Amino acid sequence: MKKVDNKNLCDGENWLYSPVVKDHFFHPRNLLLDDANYIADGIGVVGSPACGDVMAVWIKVDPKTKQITECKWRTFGCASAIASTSMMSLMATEHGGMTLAKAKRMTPEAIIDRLGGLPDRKYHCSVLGHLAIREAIEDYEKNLIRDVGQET
Amino acid sequence: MKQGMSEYIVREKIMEAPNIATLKVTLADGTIPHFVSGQFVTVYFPDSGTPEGKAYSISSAPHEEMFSITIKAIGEFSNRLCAMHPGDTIAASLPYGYFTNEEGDEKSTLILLAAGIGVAPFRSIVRDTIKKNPAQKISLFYSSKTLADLIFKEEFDALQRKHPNFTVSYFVTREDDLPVGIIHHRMTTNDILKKFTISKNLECMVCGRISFNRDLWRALRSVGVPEDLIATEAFFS
Repeated sequence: MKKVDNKNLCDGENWLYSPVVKDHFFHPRNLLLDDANYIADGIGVVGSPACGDVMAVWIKVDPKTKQITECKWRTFGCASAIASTSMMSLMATEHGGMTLAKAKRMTPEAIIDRLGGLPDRKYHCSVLGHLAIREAIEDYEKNLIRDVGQET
Repeated sequence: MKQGMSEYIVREKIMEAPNIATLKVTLADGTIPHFVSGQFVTVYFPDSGTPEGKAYSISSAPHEEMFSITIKAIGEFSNRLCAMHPGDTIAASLPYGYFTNEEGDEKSTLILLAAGIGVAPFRSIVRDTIKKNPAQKISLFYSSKTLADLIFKEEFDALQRKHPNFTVSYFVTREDDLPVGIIHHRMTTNDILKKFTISKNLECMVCGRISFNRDLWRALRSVGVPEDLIATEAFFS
């Protein structure tokens, strides 16, 4: 029987990723596996199966303070994509939650900085995280306008 | 045509530098789609192996009759675009993107930090802001490897002479013997701090390659610029 080479085990030991990236990959925050009964105030989906990364983000927003109270997600992609979305969701909801105005200004650089860095070839993963939350916010704002229109 | 694609027709081509072209385009009916300065379109070449297409920033302002994309010939897509001529068609998306100052404070000073072809969306933003909000202060810091790659320089110089609220600083990193007024070093936050004091009335936008954006973002944060006052758009392949 061929001897198993421990270096090939998928435990992340030899990955060239920061400890924070590994932590968010192995212990993702705010992951939503079953959205069938989850009622969100805004939903954003970005990416395409053709290029391999797809991210869906669901947000709940406090209508009075306009702070993001929940940010759930599901990502089809690599470790960097998963870690980026997990970190993005943490940044959006920590300390009581970002206001929508601040969340709109969340940049890939801020996400990568919190992750302790990503290889340049994985930069696009944090771009998707940034776009996903922008889309979710845009969806929320469109829903708001539509709901106000229906009331009047 | 793929869903989400529109057909644009090249109406005019301007060579800004030996390997940088501006293509002025309209939709097939002669109109241009609505867009906000700073946005981009995604170009598709269905016969390439890249089904998701590649993004190119719009370098013209929304009030113009045609819209333009400015491209540096680096890879397959950009070389094909730079080889186009009036009458050719381009399959591309409608404008999209969030790298705009649409929701910024009109009374803030806009600091635009560009490296290389990253200046493209800033030309759109500068033209648009001068037209819509001429009282807003804008300061463009524009870095390039060579003098020849400093595209739109004549236009920016003319705008600076004509509009007291617009200033531009040029940086060239890989050439010596530069004309007066061109700074020969890499752009740093010291160059910004010589002209401006960090405050909540300063909004920064950074556009260039990944390493440029990362370095400037960190540097801006280190001198106290809040995260939500820095917008970034990186150009990468």
